[in-house]
Amino acid sequence: MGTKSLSGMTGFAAAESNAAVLEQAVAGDEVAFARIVAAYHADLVRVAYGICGERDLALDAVQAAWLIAWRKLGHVRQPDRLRSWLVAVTANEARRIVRKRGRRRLVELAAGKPEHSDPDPTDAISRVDLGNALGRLKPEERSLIALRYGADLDSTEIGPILGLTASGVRARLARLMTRLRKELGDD
Amino acid sequence: MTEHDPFEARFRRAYRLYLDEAPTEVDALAVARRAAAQRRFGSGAWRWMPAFSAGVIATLLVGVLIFGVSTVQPGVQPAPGAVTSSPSPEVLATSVAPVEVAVIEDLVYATGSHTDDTTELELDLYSGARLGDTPIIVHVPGHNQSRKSATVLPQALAEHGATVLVVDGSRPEPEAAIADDGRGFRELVESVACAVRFARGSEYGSETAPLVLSGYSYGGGSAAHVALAGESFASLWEEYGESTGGPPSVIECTVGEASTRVDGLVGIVGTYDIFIGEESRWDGAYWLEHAPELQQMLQSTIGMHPELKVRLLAGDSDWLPIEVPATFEALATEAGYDVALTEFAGGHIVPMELTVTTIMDLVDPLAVAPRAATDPAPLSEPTTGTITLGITDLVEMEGQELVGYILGSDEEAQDEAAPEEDAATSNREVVRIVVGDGVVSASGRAELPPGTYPLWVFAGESRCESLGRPMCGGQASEGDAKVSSEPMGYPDYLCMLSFDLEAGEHIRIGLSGLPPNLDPQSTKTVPCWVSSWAREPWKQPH
Repeated sequence: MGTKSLSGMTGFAAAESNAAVLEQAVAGDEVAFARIVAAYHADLVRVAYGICGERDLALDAVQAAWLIAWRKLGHVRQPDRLRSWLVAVTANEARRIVRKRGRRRLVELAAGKPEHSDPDPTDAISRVDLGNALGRLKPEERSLIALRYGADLDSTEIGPILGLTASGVRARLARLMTRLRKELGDD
Repeated sequence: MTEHDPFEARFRRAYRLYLDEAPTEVDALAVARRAAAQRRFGSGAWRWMPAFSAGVIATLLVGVLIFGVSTVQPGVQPAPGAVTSSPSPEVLATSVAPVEVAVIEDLVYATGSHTDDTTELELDLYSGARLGDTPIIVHVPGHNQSRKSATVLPQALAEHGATVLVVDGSRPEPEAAIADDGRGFRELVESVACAVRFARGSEYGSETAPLVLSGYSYGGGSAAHVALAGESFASLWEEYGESTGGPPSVIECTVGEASTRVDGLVGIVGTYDIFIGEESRWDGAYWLEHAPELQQMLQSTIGMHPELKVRLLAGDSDWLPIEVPATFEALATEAGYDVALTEFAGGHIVPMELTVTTIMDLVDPLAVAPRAATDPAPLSEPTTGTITLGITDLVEMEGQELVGYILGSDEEAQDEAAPEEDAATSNREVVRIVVGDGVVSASGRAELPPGTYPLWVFAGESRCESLGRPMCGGQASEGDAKVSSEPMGYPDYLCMLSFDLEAGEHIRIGLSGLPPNLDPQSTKTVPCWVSSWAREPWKQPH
């Protein structure tokens, strides 16, 4: 007998209901927890990367988030809130890590060959410009962007994570987008 | 920005490409196992310490002596200059089995102050390995004391299984606090209330877990006010501000909507003069003279929520006169609180042991729900419950399998839980064995009728080094963990663990089988069996 693989792990939603897997994970079933990890890890890393702007920091944040998640998973009362709860934990960890790093600015990149091709080059925001613009944002602003455009959360979901009201989220997002619009040369 | 803003659409598209650079590959099972292993046991032996009673601690201490558990190998002298730990007996009594404590620093729980509304207030969180709704302790250090210099108490409490949130000690002196209509004091207590809300409503806390607010010295006074006001805190200050024309609220909680309910208060040489006024021989009179309305409001909180349990510690030679806590105790007793004042020999420095014991003694009765008076099912009687295990999953470690078996379960459960087992092991159920850094753990689920069930844990060529009680919904009653050294014909030791279960409760079975001084490489030759409940407890796995 050797190590068993987790066959079908990526079929989290299809194979079993979220509720059942969540219940098993809360009860201490590591394999069930692994299925949750498999289902949401990529989402969480993307959010953390959006906030931290560095791969290593993002991975640190997500790793810390999974440790918290294992312990606190029982607090998720409704399975359909699992994703937003995990995103919230990750975002907090990412913000904590960024703060700990002393709010350092991300290095500005020189303009060069874009890393990604876009279907419509004339319409695209360049990767370098975007990276530099994001690098100039404060951690809270990066969090706002990551939660809205990375995690696709709405303002009522983002509010509790950042300690803002939903209208406060919308207002800050609007101001941020206005700023980014100027910085990215859309005016 | 509108919903169909072309720029927003372009930005979203570019941003998603940017996020695609994130490294998203993962070995999910490894992440899960790492999380489980770290949370349960940390990286060494004796990593599991729920809130044991004194009797159980004593029993375990005996077990420690029997098993020779030590972080220093016998006969091995520390190198000159090496940093070693030689805890006193008093320290041992509270830290016999330290758990791995995770510390999460610098969590923002509030913003604002009456001088700078962008100030971020941060706390540090200490968390032990207990699962479920762990008791929460919010601690307020003394005047001007940074949370970074107040780490011993939260560490000790977390080792006992609590989740501890520590804020910074209060800044304004009493005089400054009540200046300008008391806005400094409002800021101070609002920040403490925000920490309680954070403990209740953030993802790190719990709305339902028992919560104790403790405070040292000046922190004890502000903690007392927040605890006494409880859920009425916000409305109380709102009404006070309206009726007196101030002070304004300047603190914004990160988790603004959560409750400020507190279940227990532990005042550690606290400055309760703020409630006492003319009755105080200390400077409570100062408050009465300079802020009479504020003092009246503060005093009115005594009796607001008499279900609060109050424990006070006071030194008999403290510069803070004993009359202050004594008067506060008398007022609280008169108002119907469950209150106890413990006077110790000493000044303003409180013995750590006494502090930890006082807080944990208060936490445990809050944490343990009343149990139904049911007799334990005799082991000789047929047990009608079933043991159902999670997914069977064996871990291979450098070519050697570590296999766990559950003995004595009924056949139906075996069939359901371990359909893949061959005939040679058909009377057993396999539990998952997780191998971490020097740690062996096992876990499963059981649904059993109420009763006390022995859990036998034994390791073939290793010694069974430590045991923890299972987590029964985060709760356990006293005296239900035992350690035995009966060898049972095996070359090593046999440890027995028994525990109470409510019907339907999930249990977690833990075994930290490897002493810290054991070469991790040697673990590959150590087969471990974990035996859960058994009508025939002597049944051997092979």
